[in-house]
Amino acid sequence: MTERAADSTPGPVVVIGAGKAGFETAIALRASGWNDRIVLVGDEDALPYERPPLSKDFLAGKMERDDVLIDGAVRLPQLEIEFHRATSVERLDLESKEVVLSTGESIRYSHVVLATGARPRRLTVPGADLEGVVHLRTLADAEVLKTTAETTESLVVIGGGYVGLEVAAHAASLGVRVRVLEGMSRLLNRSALPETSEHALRHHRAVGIEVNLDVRISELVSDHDGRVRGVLTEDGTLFEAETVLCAIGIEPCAELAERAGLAVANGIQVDESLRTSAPHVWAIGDCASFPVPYLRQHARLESVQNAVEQARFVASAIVSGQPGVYRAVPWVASKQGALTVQAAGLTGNHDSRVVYGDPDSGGFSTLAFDGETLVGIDAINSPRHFLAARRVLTQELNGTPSGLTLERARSSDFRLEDFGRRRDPEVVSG
Amino acid sequence: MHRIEVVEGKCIGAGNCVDVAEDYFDQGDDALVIVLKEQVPEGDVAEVERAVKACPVAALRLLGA
Repeated sequence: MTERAADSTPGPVVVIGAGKAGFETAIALRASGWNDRIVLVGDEDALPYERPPLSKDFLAGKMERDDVLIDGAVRLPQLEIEFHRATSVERLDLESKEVVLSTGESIRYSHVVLATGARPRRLTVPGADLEGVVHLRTLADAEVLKTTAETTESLVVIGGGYVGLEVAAHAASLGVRVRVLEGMSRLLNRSALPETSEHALRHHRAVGIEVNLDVRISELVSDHDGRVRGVLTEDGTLFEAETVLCAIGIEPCAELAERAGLAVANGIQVDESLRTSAPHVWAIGDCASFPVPYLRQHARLESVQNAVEQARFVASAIVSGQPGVYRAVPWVASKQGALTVQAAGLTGNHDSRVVYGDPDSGGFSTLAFDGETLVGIDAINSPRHFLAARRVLTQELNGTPSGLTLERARSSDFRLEDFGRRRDPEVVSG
Repeated sequence: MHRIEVVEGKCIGAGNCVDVAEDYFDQGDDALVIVLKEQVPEGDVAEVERAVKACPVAALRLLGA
């Protein structure tokens, strides 16, 4: 216990990355009584902001720059959280326990939390950097895309994932001619169950979005002025577009960790307590690859849920000196025009699925099972299904059988809403 | 009396508020929050406060608290 007690020895905590995960860490540290310095370093020239609205209400002009700020972002000085904006970290020195900022300042840390996030994956084909090819990750990206969407007549979205489809739905609602090009045989291939993919395909086509699957892109083609004018596929088809959004996923920002000598493999490797390979150095959020119970392997999760819950876990571990084991039911939500997808659990290892509700009604869910055990749900415009399944998944994670088995789900009188009791308020983790 | 306020554009449809205080919060088919009762009497303030705090994106406020 002496070693653990030593972990809570005060001293500066440096949080690297001022996105959702980094911000929540700093706030949670202060809220749970960390009395020493808290330094939050962000490389963007902006106060910490929420990312989900960037592909929805911000893009639609219903929110301004100030509206997307994380609640509490303007109160950082009052909380005595030292926020360095537009500042990067030059070096993380594990020997001398120092963080060196791009401003030249050097901070000796007691703990470092790496919340360095991720950046959009870029196409590697010719023309990938032409003018008119945009990405969406940051507030600055969203500002560019917003202006572009308002003036462009045609948009090709490369990548049929959550971000791509959210933007496609918005642009289509503005009257922009939209085409989605997906490399795999279904939309939302990486994140959703096949029933969801099929429904999403029907939905988006019905609102006028063209969708092509199994597309191999060979080149982004320019006009005489060097602006993009279309996407050329390997089979020789040219999809013309004034604007191309490249939304083929994100990759972790792990260079700082790598340079410092930390273990990195598809993100910064952490253990079940979210500790990196070096003492007093933690990694959370999009950049961290952690042992996921559902998958029985390391994985990175890219979601608000993951950012917030990992942030609170690490803050509590630092303050208490008791690392514990991080366990949470992962979930994501995506609003694509009138289509809302909510997914909970992780379905990578499932072996059977049960469709619940009527897909033709517009609202239904797909439950995924590993043997008799529920491992995930995709809920389409069915928040009640989502909530019930999340409660079941939470109970199971805590070792309490919920009674929801594959056999039960297949029975004719099955009602998902009857499962999952209300959580005990004392253990709400947020 | 306290009052619930929704911050426009922030809700992501987590459903955490409904999970904690289903007498006060519901979700539409789009999963976005619907406030069932804006006014919160003293006896329910603790519960609603927990629901507000459970929101991962601070889309809810409890005024007068």
